[in-house]
Amino acid sequence: MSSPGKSYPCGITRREAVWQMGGGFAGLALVDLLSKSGFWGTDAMAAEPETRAVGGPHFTTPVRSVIFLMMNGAPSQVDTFDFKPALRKYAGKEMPQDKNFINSGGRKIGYLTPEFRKFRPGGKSGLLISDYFPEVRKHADKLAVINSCHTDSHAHGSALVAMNTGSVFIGRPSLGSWCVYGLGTENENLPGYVVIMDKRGGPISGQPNYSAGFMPAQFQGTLFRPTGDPLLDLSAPPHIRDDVQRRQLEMIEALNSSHMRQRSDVDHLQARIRSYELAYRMQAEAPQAVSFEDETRQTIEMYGIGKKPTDEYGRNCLIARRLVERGVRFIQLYSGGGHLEDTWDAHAGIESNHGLHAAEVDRPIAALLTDLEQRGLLEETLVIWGGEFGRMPFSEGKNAPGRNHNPYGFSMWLAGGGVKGGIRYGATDELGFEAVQDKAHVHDVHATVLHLAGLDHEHLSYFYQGRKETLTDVHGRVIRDIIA
Amino acid sequence: MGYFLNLSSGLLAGLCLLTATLRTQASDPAGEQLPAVMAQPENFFEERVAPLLIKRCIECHNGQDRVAGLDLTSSKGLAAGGESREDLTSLDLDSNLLIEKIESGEMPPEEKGVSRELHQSEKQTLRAWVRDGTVWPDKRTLDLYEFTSDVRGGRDWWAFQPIQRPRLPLDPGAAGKGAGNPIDVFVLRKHREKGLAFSRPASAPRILRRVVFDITGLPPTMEQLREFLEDPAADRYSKLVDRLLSSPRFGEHHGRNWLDLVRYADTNGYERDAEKPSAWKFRDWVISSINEDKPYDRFVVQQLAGDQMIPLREENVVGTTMLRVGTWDDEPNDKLEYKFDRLEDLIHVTSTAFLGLTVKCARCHHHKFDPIPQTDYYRFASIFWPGDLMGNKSDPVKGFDVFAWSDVTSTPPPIHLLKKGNPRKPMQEIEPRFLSVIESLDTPFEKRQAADADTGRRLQFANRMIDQRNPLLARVIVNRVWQHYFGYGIVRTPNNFGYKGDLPTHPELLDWLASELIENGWNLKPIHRLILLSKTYRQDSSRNLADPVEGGSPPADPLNLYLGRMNRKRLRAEAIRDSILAHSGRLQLQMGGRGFTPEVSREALEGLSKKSGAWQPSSDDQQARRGVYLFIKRSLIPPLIASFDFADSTRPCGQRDLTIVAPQALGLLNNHFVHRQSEWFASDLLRGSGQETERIRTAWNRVFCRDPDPREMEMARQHYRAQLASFQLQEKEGGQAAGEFARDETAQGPVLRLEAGSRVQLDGEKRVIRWSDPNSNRFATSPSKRQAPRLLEKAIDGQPAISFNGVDQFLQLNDQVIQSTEFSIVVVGHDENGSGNREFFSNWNANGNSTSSIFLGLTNGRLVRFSDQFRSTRPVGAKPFILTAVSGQEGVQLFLGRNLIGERNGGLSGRNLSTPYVIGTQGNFGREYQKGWLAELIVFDHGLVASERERLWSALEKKYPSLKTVAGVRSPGRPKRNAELLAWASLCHVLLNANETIFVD
Repeated sequence: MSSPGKSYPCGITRREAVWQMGGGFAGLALVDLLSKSGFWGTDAMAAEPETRAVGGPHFTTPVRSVIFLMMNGAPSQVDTFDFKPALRKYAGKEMPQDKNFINSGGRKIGYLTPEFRKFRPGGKSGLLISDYFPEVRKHADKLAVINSCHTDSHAHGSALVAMNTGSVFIGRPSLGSWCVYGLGTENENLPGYVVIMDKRGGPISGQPNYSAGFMPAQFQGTLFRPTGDPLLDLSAPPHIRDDVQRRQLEMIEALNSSHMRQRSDVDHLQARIRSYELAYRMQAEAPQAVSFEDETRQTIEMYGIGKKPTDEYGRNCLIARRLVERGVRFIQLYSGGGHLEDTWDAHAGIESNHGLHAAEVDRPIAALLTDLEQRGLLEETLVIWGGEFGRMPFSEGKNAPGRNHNPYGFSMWLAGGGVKGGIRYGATDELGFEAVQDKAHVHDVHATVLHLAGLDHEHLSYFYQGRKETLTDVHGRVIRDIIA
Repeated sequence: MGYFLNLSSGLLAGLCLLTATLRTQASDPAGEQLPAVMAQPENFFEERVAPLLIKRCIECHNGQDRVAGLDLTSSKGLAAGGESREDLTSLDLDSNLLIEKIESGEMPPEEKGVSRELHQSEKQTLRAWVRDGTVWPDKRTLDLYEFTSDVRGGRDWWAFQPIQRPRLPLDPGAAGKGAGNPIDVFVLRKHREKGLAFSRPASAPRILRRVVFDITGLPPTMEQLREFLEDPAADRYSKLVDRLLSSPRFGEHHGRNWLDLVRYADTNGYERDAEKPSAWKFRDWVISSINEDKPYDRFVVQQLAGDQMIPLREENVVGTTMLRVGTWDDEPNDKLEYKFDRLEDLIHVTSTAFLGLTVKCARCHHHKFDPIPQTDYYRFASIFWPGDLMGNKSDPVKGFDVFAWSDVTSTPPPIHLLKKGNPRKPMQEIEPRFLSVIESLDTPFEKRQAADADTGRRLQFANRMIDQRNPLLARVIVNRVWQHYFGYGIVRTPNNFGYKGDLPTHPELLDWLASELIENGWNLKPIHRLILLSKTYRQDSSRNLADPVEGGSPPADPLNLYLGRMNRKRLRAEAIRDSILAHSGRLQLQMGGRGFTPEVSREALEGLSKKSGAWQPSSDDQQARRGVYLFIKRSLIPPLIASFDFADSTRPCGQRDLTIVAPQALGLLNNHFVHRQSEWFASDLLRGSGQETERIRTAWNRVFCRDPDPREMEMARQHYRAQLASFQLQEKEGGQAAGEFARDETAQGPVLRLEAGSRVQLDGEKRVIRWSDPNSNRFATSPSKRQAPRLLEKAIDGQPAISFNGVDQFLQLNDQVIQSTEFSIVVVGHDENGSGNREFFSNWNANGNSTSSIFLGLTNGRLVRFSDQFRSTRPVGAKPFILTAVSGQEGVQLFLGRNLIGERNGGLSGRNLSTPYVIGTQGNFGREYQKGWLAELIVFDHGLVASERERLWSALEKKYPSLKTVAGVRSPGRPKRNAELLAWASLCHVLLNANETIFVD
């Protein structure tokens, strides 16, 4: 039974304390700190554990950061990571009658079509990966490829939201929000959850893809730009030079201090004073995260920066590594933005579409894995690759080179901290149409990601309007077979 | 354990038979004492066994769910046993399955890995009960929600009990201590219990600022303060309160609370995130309902069933828009499931807003914490069932042009309870009824005839909702009003009055306010007034000086639950924005109508999938309207608003989060909106007296409603002078970083200049074959003879122009001209189309350049489109014109002649510059042809600064005298930046950032 108001010292409720103490991006690190220092009596914390943000991981794990390489628009599994030789046998034939599916968008239903680029074995494990990803293939022994993913929607708008939040409905916190909520962030001068969009545009459905839903805004993904000022409103307009702004900050501080001296119960006032100090520090620190001045030429070249078509994603991948080094918890890099062929949405042609998008990301992703490994960061970093669903094994019409949406079976891969490398998990049917063996729903992928990050998906909960909410709701199963 | 049981059961069973009703105590050989089954076993059952079964067993083992086939709610169920058909009434403790299951810890089962095993004492109770014959009183059935336990609330939970109007305490001591009104009597009573006292009354300036902000959401003016201070009347405060409560600003401010609660937004969300046409009429309706103090019961009925009310009136029907302003997915994966998801949204919003209950939790099973069985959820659902759950039509409803709800049938198919909420597992049919927990209202609904237009279910439901026997409606709303003023409700969980919510701090006060509301005929303004006039509200937000403030022992009541002082409040997002506009002098008080879209920097637009047309800022004047009129697009909440904890528009929000984080500071320090308003503010100061001190005083008066103290005056003077020196230095240096106001003139010529008067190559039929730039080797050619435009020899002021037919004529440029997102395009031309999209110049391309192209053209209403990211706020008109589009370091500007017709801070986001350019159409689209003339097309690869524009315009006006901008109609634009203006703006900017501005004492 709850008492009126939850009583904590210093005149604040816990709910407020977490969010109000003027933390930069570090609300939870602060909670943790305060709990450790006995700020909250243990009784108070125990009284309502369900609203408590976890002050640290549930399990020990080497993972400190997560990088989600989001292939917006949905790559085709049978052309990338899920080799289906049977498609050659059936090429030109119709989809078998007994396969039921929603024909997303009411497009033409063509004929079974084999892979557009050859599959070859990679690494010692010999994982088969197609020629769309020749560079990533060299890292085959690091990858745990899940071939049996499936999701709840055939439409980009809701499937993207599902891949990001677990639910096809907008309004729930995203995977990154849950991670930061559960783990806090190590660097209060940077956001704990960073999203870098493709220059061509954001994901369909927009903000709800990286929103904090019913959690405070502090946990939402922060858009980070790879050039110039990485954060919104990070710097003043050009005519406000440093000395001008410094004088403004000094005067704000002076006014706020004398204002505070005349009042009691000043926690909020203090928090706001502190928020300005932090803002000033962030202005100095955040741009360093996207500055490559201290990177060697070799590194820059490895990521394909300055070269077409890898420049953009290469920069983003290098920034991701720099953010990992700076203790950022969750980083999502979008490949593809806007609509249709500007994303991986290869209705018009797999070769034309994936040929472009894979060439943009293959080398940068491989470089990221190499770089993380060389710096000893791969163990501490979980890398996830995938789109919001997969694509059909059949074409969109006779001799048509494109493929329609397929939520029934698709592939994702994980690499890095705690992941067993060089393995495949689950399988689709012989056509690559639907997951049939060891099916992995999006909830299962989420549960696994949380687990690898040290969080228990059943216990990482946020009490909201009478219910303990979790990322995976009442679903989700940790895929233990891919955990080292 | 089994060993002990063996011994004890044998022994005790024997004893039991002999002396079952006589024994008072027994112990087993382990020394463990079993409780006595007392002289009256029925009492033992009622006092010990029933609570235990209810709390621990019958959530699963009830008549409906019968998990494992077992129903433990009646003696019959017990005797029938579960699937194994074991006799659970067996006296043999050793073999009784019930005892075995609880002893082994198998029952109750663990939940998410957490054991829920019975405590030793609970096990003992059951053992004693079984041992002594499982006595179960005749006809007694157990009900999960019979009473409140320490795991869930029952029907005896406080919130479901009738409202008791407390007799006011007649204690003269209480009244004598200066209670202002009855509210204070209740608060004082708690004070005495807790050893607290009121803080001092807030000073006149403080109370004025508080009451003006709390009622109107706007800052007070110095004139208001003077008037208030100079009013000699003893009742000047209550007069002020009455005046403010009758101001239309009241409805705008408080209306937003209701909009938060009913998850109001102007778009659907999801992929298309389309606008909900005329949803804004509902927003206006809420504001006017509050302003006219519409009785709350009527307000509720209109929202639930306005379309079913008699007489049929637009004002009633528009209320039901509430049911339609939630999120809506036009492409759900599973339509059947989505239909039930839609129902959940409706049940959630109505049960939360009106009842403060989480009825949605009973969709798949009985509510875990509140007495809301699953049947209640489907009863609730049945009232929306006859409506159009899947549609999103914007057709008129009952003849009114509103985005409202109505039944689509008077004979809907039956609705069934769904097993585990699964739409494919319908169970028994459910009739529409009210929540069962309010027994007096749990009566059957009247059935309508097939001939009726609708089922009337919502109206019948609404009438029960507003029945005085429903204690929740009044309690929940007075609590919300209280929360508005104190920051927290009497119940601090405003959307949850159930078991998981907080208990009221002042239960009697809550009931007294609720009964006042009902006795007032549900008018809420008197409740607002009561609160505002109370001494409790009018006390200072700082503690009495005698109280410990810092150090020493912690202050009593640190959460201020019992109101020994007023709570200091941070302004909410809209109030911060509105205040800034009020201080800058730009605030527009235009009420109602479609929402405005504020300017959002290009960086913030990067999260949108469709940049094209996705965000078009309104005119400057529109953007200066109050925040409540903001167009709320679910896929993009403007960052400055979002960072200050704007409500989540996907769910009912009863209390916004309150965070204080660094990104807010960055926003108020650096966001262009705040800078621009500071400049407006400064331009106002500069218009006033020329005295430095006078200007400082004016600034202080405007923002803080007080004079600066001498120290502040000195600080402000120093600040101004230091900033002035710095800006003057910048002017002198003229560096690029100084921005446009002092930018170095490094004027470069155009990279493309096509003039219809020179280098136009024609064929025999005056078709334009090639149009060349005389200063470079760039030229434009026609794609075919048929598609070649014509030369018009005398078009504007006797000068020639190229004429395009708007059907298929255009020209292709041979070269790339723009190197970066800093560029300018100038067109001298004329438009004949009047509507549709059409372009002068474009590099749009379907292959990879659909959202990142450069183009300049016109659209409906002759507004200018400058790429997909920006359009003008004023049209070009039907006459020939000089149109200048600038994308520079500072932002985007559009000029018609010399008049600014649109601008945005921050330039265009990344453009794809590699695709070919065309003139007179949209890239390789084969559509959007321009009909009209083009006399000149001039392109620069940098953003033109003011002086460059001046020179260019002068030259063009000389050539085309009729296009000269008439003096006097020049738009004021934004204040002209110079060192003095910027130095004052810096000071204003500081004041807008101060805690004194953002908090209300």
